[in-house]
Amino acid sequence: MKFRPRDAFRASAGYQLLPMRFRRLPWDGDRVFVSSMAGDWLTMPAAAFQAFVSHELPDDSPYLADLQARHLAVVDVSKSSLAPLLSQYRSRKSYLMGGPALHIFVVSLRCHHTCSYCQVSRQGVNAQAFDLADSPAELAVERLFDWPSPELTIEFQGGEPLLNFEQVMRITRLIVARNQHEGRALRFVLASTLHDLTEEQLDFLAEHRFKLSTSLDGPEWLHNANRPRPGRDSYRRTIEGIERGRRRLGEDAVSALTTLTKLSLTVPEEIIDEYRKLGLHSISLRPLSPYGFATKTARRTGYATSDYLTFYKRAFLHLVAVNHSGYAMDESYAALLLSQLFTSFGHGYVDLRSPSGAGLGAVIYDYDGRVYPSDEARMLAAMGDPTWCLGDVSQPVSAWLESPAMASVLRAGVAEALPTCSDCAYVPLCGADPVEHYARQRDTVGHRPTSDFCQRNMGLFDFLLERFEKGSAEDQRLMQRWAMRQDSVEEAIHVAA
Amino acid sequence: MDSSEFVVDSAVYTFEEVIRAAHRLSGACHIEVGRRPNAHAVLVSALPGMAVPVDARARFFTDLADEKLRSLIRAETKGLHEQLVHAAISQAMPGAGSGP
Repeated sequence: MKFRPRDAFRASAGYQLLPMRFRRLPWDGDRVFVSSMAGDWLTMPAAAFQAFVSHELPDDSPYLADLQARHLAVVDVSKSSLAPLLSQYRSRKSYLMGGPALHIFVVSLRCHHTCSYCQVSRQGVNAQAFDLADSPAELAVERLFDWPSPELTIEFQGGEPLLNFEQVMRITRLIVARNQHEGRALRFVLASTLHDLTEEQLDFLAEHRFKLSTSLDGPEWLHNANRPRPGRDSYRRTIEGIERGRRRLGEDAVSALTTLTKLSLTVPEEIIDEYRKLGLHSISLRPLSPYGFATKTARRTGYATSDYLTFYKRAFLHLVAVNHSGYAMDESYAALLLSQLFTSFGHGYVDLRSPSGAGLGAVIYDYDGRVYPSDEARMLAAMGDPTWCLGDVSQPVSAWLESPAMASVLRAGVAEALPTCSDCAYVPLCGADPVEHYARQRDTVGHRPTSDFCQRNMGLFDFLLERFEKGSAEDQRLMQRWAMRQDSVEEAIHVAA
Repeated sequence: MDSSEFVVDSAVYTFEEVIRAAHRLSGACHIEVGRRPNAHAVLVSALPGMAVPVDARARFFTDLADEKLRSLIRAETKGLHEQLVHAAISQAMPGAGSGP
């Protein structure tokens, strides 16, 4: 055996650490996940990482080149440029540059359904007092163009927006007319049950190239149990709506997402198989939110985040098997997290941004003209807590930005500055959600060791990383494909209905 | 186990490192942190209806060692993080010049 010369084992002091965070891998405590400030990352033995931080890593350590390539260290300050790191950081935070791009118009609180887990404060189908009127609608359109974003996504939701479709058409026409000289890139989305969708409505939706987002909770028995309505035929009506929408607007124009109740958690395979049966290639497995009617029925329909994660892992493994059998289908939140892990692109998903996407990425114009930084903030107001109301559509945008609600968002909205998050290795890939923490913990900053938001996102990052590391080459290729699927990432952004 | 006390050599670990490590356990048990001569003391006790996790001690001291590493990183990169963020964002502002 030939030994290397003594010098080869000399510790190196010739490198400079760059800002970084690390986390012991839950499935292997002797290794760490290390991330740069821009979200580049690697895994390595904890002992080697300790030597690295202590400047005891030998010059010829195989880790040193990798650490430098990931912007975790600079070996030769005179020859190194930090420009790629800055560029990557800018790219990650690119969602900040244009201001809010997602604008949600709540055209009515009326709805056919009486779902126990409803996250909004629905009203009966005849309660027209809960429709968005013409005057606040016009003012909302004016405010929409006060924002600088060159791309505007306008999402109509409710309640059931088809119950006030006249207003959907009116607002759309106002926006399109105004855009003649504004020149923004417009994208329209209708978040609807799609029940009773008429040919006339489809004509209009086709004319303006609408995307449809609907809710499908799984097989018929589960969907109807989750979404009661007179006639107990919600599933049939939803399927008919999906088919009508696809026929007229195109296969890719209709997406569906599930809301998961306690009952749903027992049947992940059935839910996924239902989506496959319908020819859908993406599914969104979203947990219940602590808002609206969901809070009143939490004991019956709710569950712990740990139960959600157990469900998710089972669902993920089934999805992988479905893909390996030859049918392509992804889970949109996994696609979003994987895109965060494997690309440095910015994204539009408002719940996973830092600074928070509330008010900086999305604005909600409620049926009564009040304005909120997120849909969750609107739901809290409907529950009697107007803490997060930015103002109303008669005020200029500058007044909303100077509001106490926006100040609260900004104070607790930078994840990199929050306790525990500031040291979390996933923080460059994650976000801050002061509204959710306020809703769950009555504290906008929140207590991370008991935070559902934190447990859910860290649990999912850990799980996806472990699956990637332990997966076959085929599994890894699949996960990388999901990371690159922009349409699924966008689907994660527009999860509503 | 209803409670347990961990004593930390204050010549090795700072009070801040102890606080940070103890905070990570605060979802699983009640925490009190105090100062002793040449030591920091962390008293962990059970939350209502729960027991102190059996691995609380191991978790705390592992987290404490990790906090020491974070302190070293923080000391070496202090100020650099803010400078880099400022440089990155300012380049994206209207009318910004070229960066480093």
